[in-house]
Amino acid sequence: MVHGWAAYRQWQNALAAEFFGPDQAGLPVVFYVDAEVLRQIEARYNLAVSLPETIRSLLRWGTSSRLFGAFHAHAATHSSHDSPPPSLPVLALSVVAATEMATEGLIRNTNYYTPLTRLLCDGKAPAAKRAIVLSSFPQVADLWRRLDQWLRRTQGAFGVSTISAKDSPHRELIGLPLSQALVRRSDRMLLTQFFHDIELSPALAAKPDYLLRQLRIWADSRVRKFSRRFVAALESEVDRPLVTELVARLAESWDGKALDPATGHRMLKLVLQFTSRPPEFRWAAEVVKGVESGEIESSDGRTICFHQDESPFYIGIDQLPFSSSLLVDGFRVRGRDERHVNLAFNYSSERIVVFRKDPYLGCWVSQESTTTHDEHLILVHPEDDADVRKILKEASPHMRPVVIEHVVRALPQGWTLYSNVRFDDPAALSRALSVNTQASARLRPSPVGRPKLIGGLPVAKHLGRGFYLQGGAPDLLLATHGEFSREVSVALDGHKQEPPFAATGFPIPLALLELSSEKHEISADGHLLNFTLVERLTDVPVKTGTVGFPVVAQASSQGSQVSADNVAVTLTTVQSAIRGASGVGAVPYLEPCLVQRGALASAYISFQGEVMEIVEPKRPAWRDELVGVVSYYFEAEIPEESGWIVQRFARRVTARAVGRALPDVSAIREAPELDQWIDLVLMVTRPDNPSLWKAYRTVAEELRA
Amino acid sequence: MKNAGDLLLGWISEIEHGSLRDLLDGIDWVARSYRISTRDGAAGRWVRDAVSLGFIDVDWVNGHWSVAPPVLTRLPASDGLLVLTGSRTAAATDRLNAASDAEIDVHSVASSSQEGDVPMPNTIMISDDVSLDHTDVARKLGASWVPCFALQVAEILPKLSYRGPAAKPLPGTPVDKYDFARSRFIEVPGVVGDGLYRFIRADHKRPYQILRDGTWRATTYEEGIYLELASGSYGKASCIRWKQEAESGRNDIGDLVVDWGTPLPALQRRAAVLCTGLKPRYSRIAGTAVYRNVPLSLAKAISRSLLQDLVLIS
Repeated sequence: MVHGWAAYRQWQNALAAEFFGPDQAGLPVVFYVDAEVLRQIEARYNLAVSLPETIRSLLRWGTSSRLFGAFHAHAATHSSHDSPPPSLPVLALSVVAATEMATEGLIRNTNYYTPLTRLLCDGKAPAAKRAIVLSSFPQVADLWRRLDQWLRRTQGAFGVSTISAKDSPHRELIGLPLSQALVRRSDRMLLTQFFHDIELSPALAAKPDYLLRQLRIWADSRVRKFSRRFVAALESEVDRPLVTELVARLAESWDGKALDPATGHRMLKLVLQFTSRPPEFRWAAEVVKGVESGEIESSDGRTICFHQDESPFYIGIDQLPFSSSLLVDGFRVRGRDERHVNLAFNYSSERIVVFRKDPYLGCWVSQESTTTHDEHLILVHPEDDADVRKILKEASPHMRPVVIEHVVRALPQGWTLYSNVRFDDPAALSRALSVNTQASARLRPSPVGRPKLIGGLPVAKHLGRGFYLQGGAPDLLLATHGEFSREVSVALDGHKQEPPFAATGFPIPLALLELSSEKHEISADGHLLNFTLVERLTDVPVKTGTVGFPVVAQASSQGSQVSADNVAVTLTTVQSAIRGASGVGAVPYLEPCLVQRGALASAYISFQGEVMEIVEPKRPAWRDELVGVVSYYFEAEIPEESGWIVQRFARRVTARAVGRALPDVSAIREAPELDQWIDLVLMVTRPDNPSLWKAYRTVAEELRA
Repeated sequence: MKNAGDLLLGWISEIEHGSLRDLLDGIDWVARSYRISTRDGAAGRWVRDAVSLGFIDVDWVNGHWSVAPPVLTRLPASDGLLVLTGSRTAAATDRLNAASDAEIDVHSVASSSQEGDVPMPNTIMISDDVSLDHTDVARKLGASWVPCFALQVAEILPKLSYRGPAAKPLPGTPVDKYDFARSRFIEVPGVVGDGLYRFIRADHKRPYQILRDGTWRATTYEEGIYLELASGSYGKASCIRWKQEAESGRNDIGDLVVDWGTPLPALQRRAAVLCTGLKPRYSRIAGTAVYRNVPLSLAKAISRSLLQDLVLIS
């Protein structure tokens, strides 16, 4: 059996491999060790002597403040750049002590030194020994600082340090191990989901206070998933600065992947699709960055392939088997991406499931939370049913429980599905949610972390964000901070809103304010939001008609025939196509002749002596609806040759030239309606083309003579 | 304040093209912000009518739309009315106002709007005059002159045909089959005999396909219905009807009546709508769409292109 330094070195190697391996490069490292983690490491690395026992054998109890002197000296002489300082075993034990502190009540120094002394004295903590531990602890703190320095010096090659002692002076020393004991591995994995859900950006990561506010809202509905200590730390005034900094560091170095708390594998959230006809649940998973395709080992032994296309959901996930018991128990299944990296597909069971129509899948899809003004289906566990029904009755008067037999059969035993759930009335929703229950927390519209502008009619996206068409100003969504109906002081262009707006999760339409076309600024909760209203952008059409109905020439028995396609497509090149009402210019068309209404009689006379009576039709009935659009003309079909429209009114006879041909005397002489033709010409008092008319009148007079 | 339809047309004219999803969101947003109470599917119906009126064209398969170039065209047998359709930016509206000041007779006419629908843009009509140079007026409005879209497109309407072969639905895929007796798709336990089907494919798209004589063929919703009717399996169909207008002297002009269950495909619809420049009248009780002022020749061309016999009603 190994003893003393031999055992210490084995622990050092095991802890180094476990926490500071090369696979940790660039990732935040939290040296979280508790009794359970110790047992796992002991088993995995075949360690014969427990960590507390190993440390105990090397302590110097004979001194008053140099209890850890041996480790200190060892670290000073055995350090190298390429491996962690040889202090990991003693530091690990200092973290174990931190995890064994009382989690409730005020955290005092004694809360820490008692469990540490117990670990160092085989379960007992006599006051004298505790005094020695306390006065010697600066040595441990010094070892922590050296580990922190080494991590920084190696530029994250072995992990990014999260060691912190930002705290009040009296807790500075124990803050070091405490910083590593607040966040378990599973908490860290959950935090990756949080970062993912808030779409963490570098800009957001640089705002630790904001992050923590968001986290407290997000964690609110996931209290049971975080460790007790983490939840307590989030709520504790004393621990909050430490948690804030830790979360900020984890955020800074987050690689964009959400991780599964149980396996540590990259996690993809499974969501439920629901179709009502036929009533059926299926799985779906939203596409995440970096995973294009892969496979899943289904519980029934099949391998299911999935891949990505333009849809925001993976193709193929719906092949995973579904049973209603999975709704109750939750569901986890393993898979691999295209590079054989392990994935965990995970559905966490919920007693109240919120569904919204998804435009891409065309069916109902389960959601994180409700949203205002959208229709929802709500699936409810029997125990929450009374609460939910009460809330919905008050807030969504149109909702009705779905009791259709064949739908109920698809649901887990006793669960109820409510349809037609829509929150349109802030006041009604506020009343309905005023009682604090699981149900009211779950049905609250998605928390808004900071004020933002949504909706509107955005234009000129290529020029940047924040441009909207006049009349299409965006809606203002105020931060709810997890509350409902919070009063927020808002100013628009420097003018304070009175009375103040209430942040209810409902958008406040600014479009109704009829704002002028210029830049506007809103200040709310200390945030500034800008948008610009523009009245006009394009003067000349640039990209009109990129979609159209292609027109193609097709060979047929009568030669080539032009025909349009009946389905509009995105046109790739300068294609001949019908775009709107254009693209038919090449088709021959005989223009109708406009004839003035209200004449006593009308006729067409041709340059060759033909006469055609024109009967004035009634006005088109459909035009009666066009208020104020008077019709002065009607349309007549006349032969396609030169002539005149002659019209007799009460006090005048008019002639309007159609074409410019001179009269064809020989043809006129032979025309069957010769007399009528001459009568009409001689009647005219007001020709519109007197010089051309003169030729006609001369012919008529000669023929009459 | 502008009406909601004009605001939307102004918006799509400025952005010119985009994703169908964003367009639908924009329409829903306008309805909500301007307190227009809507029935389910109002945004989709707005898009359909905007396509019919010639404002936009939509590539449904790829979820993309673009605004149409501005066009001035004649409404047939309308006592001399021209309609301005397509893109209508703020700059175009300025040009229109300038033209109106220059003694061109411009009218802005509202399409009738059903309860629960988002209003359409006003239709811009210009009274024709014997002295009017159409090409010149169109140019002043930044548009191009098309003598008569409705009657010209009638000449090149496509004849209905299948759109090539298609893969059959995967086993176990829930399918809907078109039921001609009830004029809608009905969920069926599986593929049962020849007919028009729709289902959700693995890529989340929802194709319409026809099974006939053991072969699956791709189609669209409207074409599929008419192809099926043309197959003769559903008896003598009379879903496209034409009724002569009562007025004397307006022979061969009338109402084109189409059942809801057999909607016209996009181009045929546009041809019929651009006879008045206004939305058809939808009759909930009769279950029909009535397109007014449609010349008989156009009605015949539409029914011919859809392999239907036009039914003349008196």
